[in-house]
Amino acid sequence: MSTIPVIIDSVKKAERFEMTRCSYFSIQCDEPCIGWTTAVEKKRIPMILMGLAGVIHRPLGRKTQFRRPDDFDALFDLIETNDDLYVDTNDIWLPNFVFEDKFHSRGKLFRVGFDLFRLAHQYREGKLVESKFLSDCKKSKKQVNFSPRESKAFAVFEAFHLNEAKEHYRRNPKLQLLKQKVK
Amino acid sequence: MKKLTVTLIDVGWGDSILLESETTQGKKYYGLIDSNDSANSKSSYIFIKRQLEKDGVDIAASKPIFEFIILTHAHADHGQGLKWLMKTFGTKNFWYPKSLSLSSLAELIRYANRSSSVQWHQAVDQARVLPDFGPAKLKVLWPAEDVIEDDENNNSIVLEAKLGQISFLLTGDAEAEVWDRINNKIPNKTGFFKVPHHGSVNGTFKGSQPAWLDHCPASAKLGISAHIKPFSHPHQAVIDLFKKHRREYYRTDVQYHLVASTDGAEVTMQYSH
Repeated sequence: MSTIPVIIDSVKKAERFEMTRCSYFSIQCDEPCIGWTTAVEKKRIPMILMGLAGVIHRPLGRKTQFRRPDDFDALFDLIETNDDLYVDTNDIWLPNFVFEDKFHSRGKLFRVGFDLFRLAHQYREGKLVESKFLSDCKKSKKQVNFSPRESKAFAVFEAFHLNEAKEHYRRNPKLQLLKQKVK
Repeated sequence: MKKLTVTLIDVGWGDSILLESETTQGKKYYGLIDSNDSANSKSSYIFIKRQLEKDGVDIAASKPIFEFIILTHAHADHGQGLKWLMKTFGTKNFWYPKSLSLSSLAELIRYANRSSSVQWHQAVDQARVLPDFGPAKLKVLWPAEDVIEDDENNNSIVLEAKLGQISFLLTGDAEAEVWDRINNKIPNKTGFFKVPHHGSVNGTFKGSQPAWLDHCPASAKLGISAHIKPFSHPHQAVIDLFKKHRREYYRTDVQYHLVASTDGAEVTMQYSH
């Protein structure tokens, strides 16, 4: 069964609200696209795709995890060679009790089992009330696992693109915003 | 007549703010702060598209539409959906704060590095001079230069947009620790103030005391971008504080889109409900 990589965005520990907001990557398309098929009961149905939102859960090829920063870039770059497709981020909420405490912090990457992800998505979309969501999560809490190699790969991916932005900034001094002394 | 308009778009929960600046000749300029559009719910996109259609803008021919897009801080309820908005409408500038962990901002920076839909992008702080926004002026009140906070909310860009004598303050999710440092920068003629952090207790109180209310002119209209689910923001204590001090406030979960406009001397509010 597939697992979905999610990155911790914000951990909330307020009174009566102990949940974590997590980001995941999606592939999206809002323009008609030719050359697509779907399958129902093993029968292929060709179609012109109109709108798409899919969850990205693994890199290209046979790899099951994003173990190198290049794994993110290769997949995202390939998707976006088609100008009608793009990669974006979306979010879900998960209760804090599903996470291992010592790794439970912003920027860490966890893998979430499909059943739990689906529950979280239903809650996010308002299809599940909070009490039912929390009780169902208690039955599924073993579906969340810290992914140290993917966390490191994502951190390097972040740093690479930030450095690229800084380099672009350094190479274009005339475009930089002016600086002023602040009183 | 010159005009500055700020719309707190009702996006269900989160922040998305459309800014419009208009010259006496009727030329319009557009800016955007934050988005919470998801794959299934593109509230900002729909509102912006309809507004541009009303203004008779040919989107494809006029790209880049935005003078600037700002991500106040790297939290998903402020940044998701921004990439699609950049791609669709284009922007001359993408500004964002420095952050210890980029999270979803990483993908926006990756896109900005590569795409012609974003002409320029950089991190901004108090030390940076922002270009004019049509007849209006823009100023970053926070973050301070070379300050990066552990709490991402306190990296929020606090922006002053000013036309004539009137300032509008847009505050992201900046909490009490930020207001301790910049309360003295809240202009005397603030006409509209976006209540920080969706009307949470942390955004409006320092302990049991108001964090910024005493420094915000009594005549300023207060706008709350609600975050009803899952947080129940605005917090009832914040609403009670505003009522106790007889402050004029508006909230997106009750009044839908909130529109504050100024001609540089007076401020008017419009809302849908």
